Amino acid sequence: MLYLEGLTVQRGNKIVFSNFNTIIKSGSITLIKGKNGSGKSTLLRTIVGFTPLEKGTIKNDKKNVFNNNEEWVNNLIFLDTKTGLSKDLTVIENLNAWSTMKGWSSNIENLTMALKSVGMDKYADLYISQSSEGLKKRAALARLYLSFINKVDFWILDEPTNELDKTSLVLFKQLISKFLKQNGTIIIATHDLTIVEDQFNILDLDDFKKQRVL
Amino acid sequence: MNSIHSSWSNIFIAHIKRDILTNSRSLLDLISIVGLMILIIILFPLGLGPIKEKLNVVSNAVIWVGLILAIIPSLEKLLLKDFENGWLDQIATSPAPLEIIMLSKAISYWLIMLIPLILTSPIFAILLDMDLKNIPWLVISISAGSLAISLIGLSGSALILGARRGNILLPILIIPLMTPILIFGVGVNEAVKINESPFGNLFLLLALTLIYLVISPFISALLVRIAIGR
Amino acid sequence: MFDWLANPNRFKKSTNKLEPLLMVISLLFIIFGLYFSLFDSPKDYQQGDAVRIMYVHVPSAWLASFLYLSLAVSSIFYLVWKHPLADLISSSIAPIGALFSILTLITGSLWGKPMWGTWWVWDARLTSMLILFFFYLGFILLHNAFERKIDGSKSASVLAIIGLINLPIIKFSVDWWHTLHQPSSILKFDGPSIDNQMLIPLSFMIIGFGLFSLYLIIINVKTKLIEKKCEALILKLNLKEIL
Repeated sequence: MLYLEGLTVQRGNKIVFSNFNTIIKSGSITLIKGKNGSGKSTLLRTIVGFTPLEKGTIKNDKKNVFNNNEEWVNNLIFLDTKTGLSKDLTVIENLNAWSTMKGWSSNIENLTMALKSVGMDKYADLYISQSSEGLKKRAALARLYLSFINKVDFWILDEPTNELDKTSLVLFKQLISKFLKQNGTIIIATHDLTIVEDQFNILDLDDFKKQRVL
Repeated sequence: MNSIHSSWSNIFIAHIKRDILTNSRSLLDLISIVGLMILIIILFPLGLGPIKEKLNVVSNAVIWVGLILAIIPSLEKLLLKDFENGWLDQIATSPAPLEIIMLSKAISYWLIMLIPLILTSPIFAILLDMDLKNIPWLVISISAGSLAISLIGLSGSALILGARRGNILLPILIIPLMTPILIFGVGVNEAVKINESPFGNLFLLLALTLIYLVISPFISALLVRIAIGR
Repeated sequence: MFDWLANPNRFKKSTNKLEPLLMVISLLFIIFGLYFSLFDSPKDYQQGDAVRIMYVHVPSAWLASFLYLSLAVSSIFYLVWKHPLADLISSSIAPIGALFSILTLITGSLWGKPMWGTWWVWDARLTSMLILFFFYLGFILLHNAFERKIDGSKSASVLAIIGLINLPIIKFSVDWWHTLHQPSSILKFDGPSIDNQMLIPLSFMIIGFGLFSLYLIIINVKTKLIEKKCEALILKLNLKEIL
């Protein structure tokens, strides 16, 4: 269980959200929706620990996650709209660099399996500079598969499905349901509420803001 | 505990490998940095006239000034590329501390951009009519000072992450920081030129490198955290 | 102390009385100091009347250095305790410090003409001061180089700290590079080597300059507080329109 308690985040003069509370159950999937600029991305970046909190805590079970930041970031995969792929490297080189960066052993079989899970095995040696937006997204999503080999409890994804076609969306859904079965927790910021069919929770930031104004 | 530390060193090496791999794909940066260095050096004989005595007076200084100026354009992209494509976000979710990763950035920048300049420095010396017997000391002094240059460059590069017109701002921010390195670096070679012991300057240069080796990764990591926290 | 002042309103209230007082006292010090230094202090047996430039040059140099230290300290405060007022203070100090370093350079150059026969001599202290000026300049430029102000505040604060670490190193290296200047006259530990009659106007000028820059900093901070308030009001108005 992830407890977000009284989160207040300020960017410059602007308060993005104040006194935000919610509980995210383990093994659940939560979709964060809201208008552009409602703070979806900021909320995700706050949970990961990038954006500093003005007030509030984030607890995983009973532990404040930022007390042991190393353990927390080890336990999650964060995927932004900026994917962190270097355009001078190939798809598999990027995945390899990412996996070693996470401190995981990156043997070629695991990496190939990961690419296969998003249908990218044919493109392993394609340079990112030459690939389309959709392929880039899939190359980044291949990282998710590695959490079935290494221990990760949280996926925190910002607009993961934007550039995906139908077939890769199916593959993505397979990854999600596999992760949920492992009791993994998924938090997704998205405009598109149809990306998962299973049971999911919705966190509407616009609703939250309206309540605050009232 | 031991296993965590060994994985830190693995991660450290992995980062250097990635940087080298990335840069090996486009040799453009490397060629332009060495080209710029040679062009800066050519400007001096053109400006002063091809008179051996005049060149002899300024040669050491020209090489060090050239070194500092030549790397500045490449410094802008040192962290900015990874900031823009989101890699800095990803490395912030690495089990290795950001400080260690920043150190790896400085080391890989040194390996990629400054080692070629060290290796080609005898050519610069010959272009400027330096005494051949002084060339080994030139190589030694540049080797000692160049790591400090890349460490300072790293923190400069971190300062301008996300800034408007960062490329114009960068030289103003880092050239003042480079002055001690210039002074001690030229000091080594000038001492050699007049047959005095260069060790005083050399030790100071090495001491500076050590100081920046400690400070720069912390400062750069702090700045990267600020940049990704926006 | 800092926490107590950190409230903008309390800051305004407590400085409202201080402000005119500071101005009057600092001007008194400067007027008396100028009188003493221009009319009631001895000529130097070598430099003649040119030595009187010292009474502006030395206080400016001291203040330029001291203000940088204050800038760095308030930047540390800002980064550690994240209080906006600390950033307002450092961004208020920066232009004043830069001004004093320019004043040092100009008076140094004016002093140099009768002393050395040229307007500019690459002596160690002037060179260090020139580099200090570039740290001030870098701080100001970086502070304004970001879309959102707070990003500039943070980066510039880190730059101030980098400067705090590096300036002694630079100072040392520049001294190493060249020691052509006169030995420091006041900071010698075996007592001041200059005449007592010169010391009195000098201390008057230092105190006067110090208080005057404090006065300028307070005005600067207040202006920035008002600016911030205006921005907040505009933001509120815009929000109302949207809603």
